[in-house]
Amino acid sequence: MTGYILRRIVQAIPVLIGITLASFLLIHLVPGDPARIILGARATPQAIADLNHELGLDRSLIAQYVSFVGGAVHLDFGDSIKQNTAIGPLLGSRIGVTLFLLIYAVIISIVVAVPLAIVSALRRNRPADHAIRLFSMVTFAMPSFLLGLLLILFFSLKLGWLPTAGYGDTFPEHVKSLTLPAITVGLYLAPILLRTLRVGIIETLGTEFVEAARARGLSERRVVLKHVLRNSLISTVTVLGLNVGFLLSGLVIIENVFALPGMGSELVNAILARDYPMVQALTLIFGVAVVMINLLTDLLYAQLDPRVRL
Amino acid sequence: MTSGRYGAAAVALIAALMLAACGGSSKSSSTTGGTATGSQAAGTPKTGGTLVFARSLDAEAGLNPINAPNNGSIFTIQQIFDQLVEVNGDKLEPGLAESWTHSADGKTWTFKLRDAKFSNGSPVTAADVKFSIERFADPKINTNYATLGSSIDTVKVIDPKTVQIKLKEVDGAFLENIAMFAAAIVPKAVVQKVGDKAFANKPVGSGPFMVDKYQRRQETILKRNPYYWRKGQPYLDEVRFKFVPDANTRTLELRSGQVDVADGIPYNQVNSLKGASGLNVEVADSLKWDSIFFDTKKKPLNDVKVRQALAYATPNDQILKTVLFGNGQVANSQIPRVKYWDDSVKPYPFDPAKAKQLLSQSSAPNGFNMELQIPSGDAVEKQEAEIIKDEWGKIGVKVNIVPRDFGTMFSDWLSGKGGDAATFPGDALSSDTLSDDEIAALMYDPKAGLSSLGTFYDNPKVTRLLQDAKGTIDDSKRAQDFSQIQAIGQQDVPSVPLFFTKSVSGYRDKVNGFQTYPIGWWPLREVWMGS
Amino acid sequence: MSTDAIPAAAQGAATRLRRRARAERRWSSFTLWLGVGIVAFIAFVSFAAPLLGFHNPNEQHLLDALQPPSRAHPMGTDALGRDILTRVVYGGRIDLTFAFVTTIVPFALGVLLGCWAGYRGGWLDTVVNRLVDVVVAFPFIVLILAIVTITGPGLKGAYIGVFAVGWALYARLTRGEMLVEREKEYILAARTLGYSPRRIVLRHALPNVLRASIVFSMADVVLNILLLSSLSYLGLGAIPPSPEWGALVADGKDLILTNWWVATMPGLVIVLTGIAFSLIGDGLADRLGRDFTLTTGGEADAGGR
Repeated sequence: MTGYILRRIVQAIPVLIGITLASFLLIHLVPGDPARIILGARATPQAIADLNHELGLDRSLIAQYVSFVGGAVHLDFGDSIKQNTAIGPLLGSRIGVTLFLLIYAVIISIVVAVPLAIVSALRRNRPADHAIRLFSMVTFAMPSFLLGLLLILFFSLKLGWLPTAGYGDTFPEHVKSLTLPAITVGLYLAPILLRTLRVGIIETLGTEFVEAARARGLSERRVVLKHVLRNSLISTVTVLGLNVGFLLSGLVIIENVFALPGMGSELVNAILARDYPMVQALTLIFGVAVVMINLLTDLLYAQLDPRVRL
Repeated sequence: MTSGRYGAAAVALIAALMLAACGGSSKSSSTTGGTATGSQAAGTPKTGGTLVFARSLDAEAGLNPINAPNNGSIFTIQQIFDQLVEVNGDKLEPGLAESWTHSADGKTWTFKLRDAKFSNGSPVTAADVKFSIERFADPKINTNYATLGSSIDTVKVIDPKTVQIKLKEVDGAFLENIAMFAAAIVPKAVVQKVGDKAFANKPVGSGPFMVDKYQRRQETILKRNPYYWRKGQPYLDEVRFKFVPDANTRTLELRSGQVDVADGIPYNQVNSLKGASGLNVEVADSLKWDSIFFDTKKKPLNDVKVRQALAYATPNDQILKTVLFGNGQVANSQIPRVKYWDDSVKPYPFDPAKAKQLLSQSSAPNGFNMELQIPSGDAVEKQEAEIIKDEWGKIGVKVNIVPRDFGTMFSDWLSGKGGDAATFPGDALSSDTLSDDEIAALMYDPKAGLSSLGTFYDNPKVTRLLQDAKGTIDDSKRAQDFSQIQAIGQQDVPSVPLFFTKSVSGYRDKVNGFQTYPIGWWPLREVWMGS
Repeated sequence: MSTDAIPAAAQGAATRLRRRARAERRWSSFTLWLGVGIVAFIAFVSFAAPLLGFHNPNEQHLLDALQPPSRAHPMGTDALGRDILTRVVYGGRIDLTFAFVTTIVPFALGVLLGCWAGYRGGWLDTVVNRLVDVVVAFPFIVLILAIVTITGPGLKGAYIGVFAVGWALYARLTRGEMLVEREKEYILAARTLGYSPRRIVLRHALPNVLRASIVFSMADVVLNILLLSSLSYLGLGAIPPSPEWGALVADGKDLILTNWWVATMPGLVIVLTGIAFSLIGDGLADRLGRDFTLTTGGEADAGGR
């Protein structure tokens, strides 16, 4: 088992390096001079040169890259160009928001997808199944920002149950504020989860394993609960791991729609503002997060599925 | 207005003008769902309460007044700091200076200071004033607004309550200039100890509020400054600025009661907000404007007949009705309505026939292709551009709309790299002071640092008139000069003026005393919460 | 002969099962062709628009702005008085073309690459694998935003972005399939016969290995359309006044309270198109014996998008 873990970690390293390279290079290809944007169009060439020097933008790309990675390891990402202050502390609270939303959305996704998948599989090709599959298709094809907007319209304005935007101050407020965004992101992921689970459950129901259990006289219910759920858990973990990138993309858009102070909204703003250090930091964090989560899900998968041993 | 990302722009457009008494009426004209608005509050002010304010911009660039680059920061700074002379609506009034006199030649100004304290308890001294004004006058420290402090020569402390400022030359806009945020009075000891960068995170001022919590791009919480010199004010215990960049979301928050005030209400929601119970809408005059700027070096836009033709081909009234829903005023000047605006200068009427005729007499009789840059994500500018593309197309001018991120686009435009034409968000460009001088200089004088707002317009006659106006403190002379400038500007049309934009804000019934100054920010010290 | 020995009840059960299976197949056929029909209909209307009486999607009638749906304007008019139905119809050209091209090209690239890497194995395989991992690690929208910032708004950036990233999932899927396929007897036989690797991969293995990718491509189409509309929502998509569907929704987002049809009509069309492609995907999955999201080997994902 430890061998497996070590192997996975070793495999992840080149990917991490690739990510740092990519996030570093990406933003340097973007046209526009950050020093000029900070200082404004009235700045003198001297002032611009001075600022470029201060920001370290006049060093060679390699030197910049090395200091970028070096700093990142210490969680020092330099200063945000637009906000004139250290990036690390700025992101501290934002990471919490995005993480909170991510977990909340995943929970909702599971709560929606698992029962529906079970019903769909058990009532295969019957009206319930068709209805659920239609639901799945609709949520898959729905633009997330439109769904978000409609949810706000309905639950926030018409019914007044939930806040329209923002994050709130206390934990209960956070939960309330994040409910609509979490539902939106949850429904973004749910169709994928639902499909996979449905197929998995159908497969499981047809396996000899389950046949044997049935033959032994276990009630349908127990069969379902025991074997189906366990396999579903494994599938869920896999799907989540594979779709982290997808999930995070959804988060970025939804954070914008709901004005949440998370990393996604910060990223869009940073890119538009040519805030190089901020974009680098965020891209890196996102990339590393995906790799870490993948690693975690792989390990979890290995724990759960005794058949997996690399 | 759905944009306003940069407010007074990453480039400070500072018009130092003495808007003084009359001039164009820049008073708040408000329409509401019933109750009185602006400064006519019903009942007596009550102390206490928190105001939750959803803003389109955030003070993300820091809270240091000396180099605040945009309205996100500036409008917050105005709640924390004081200047010697302060803005009140369209006038100036005593701030930290109780009174002032000037010498006969207008080059020496003497200010008598009042008793006041900073929010950390230490008194505002003459030394603090000297320190602050000297920084304002130093182009190495005051990098963004150097021209506004450039006429200052020396600052002397006469006695603990008197400061004297000597100018290098007569400056008709001097008082407006030192009323701006960059000339705010800061505590010398604190700034010298922590430095400018740290001061931007933890500012200390003598204004009505002080910073309690400052979270960039999320919210800023201000609480009452217990030492504030205006007795009884501010009424509010606390002001919470929530950063909500999306206009729709901001309005939704106001409707649902999550916030008490929201600025930058989209035009298309004004009417429905007015009708909503418990809510009010303020449509206030401002020092902002919206134009289509041309690069007058590029062919055939270098031909004045071409530009005039385009001006005649622009349906301002129709756009005002369709896109702004009537919330604005058709512009008759190359610059916004500040003090010396002359309403006798006629705006260009919509006359496609005349446009075609002019074009046929110009250097491009068969029409031509051009690019128009617009800020991406701005629905209002997009609609304006689409209508203009349609109409200009009818006279043979094919317009390609190019959406670009505002920050980069603006910076490129001003340095001449930007393309044929550009237009910016309606609330991006504004005057930072109450006088026409600075904004007129920025618009008309290529040497003022912004290449005539990217148009590269250069007319020695106008430049002479500008200098004439600046070099005198005779109001009627200045009015004459600026009126002439306005007329010539309209003749030469380096830009096709669209509108003088309004500030549109919404607020709940229980908010009393709320108003938006033409200069864009709000005297929140006057606000009190009813029940 | 053996059926004679089976009791009648069992025979009845067998018949029922067969009938059930046939009914299922018919239903699955029906949904597949329904999907195809919807897509064909939308494509036809979009590309044959002028013949059907839809002219100039940019025709403004400022006095008719924001009219609710009516007989004259079945989807209503927008803020500049343009007929929304006409805009949606012309927008179809943009979205469907985008969806098609951004699916086909990464498909081709990814499948070929995955095939080759899967068959050859060794360092090529490892490199491709790592590359795929890195590409998939980024939330797609991040990459696209950065690329669009370089290229400027407009479809160009979106196309480049999807090409740069979209191939990865096809490569991974195909590689996975190839790893299984290359151990099969017919491949081993071909090798012994001395066929060149190129011939083996392209002629023999490829057709079998394609199935998962074909099925996934339908989901990919939907995701690409959604991506384009997300970009338009952020103001970085198609250039105004282009009637791309996402841009139409973005146009209406500020009006959703007062004039709901401006955003929801194009939104409905996006959803309908997405459902149609999903139906095709499901149908193909049934036909080709693979699932839409391919669970063999645990490969079930949305392309990292």
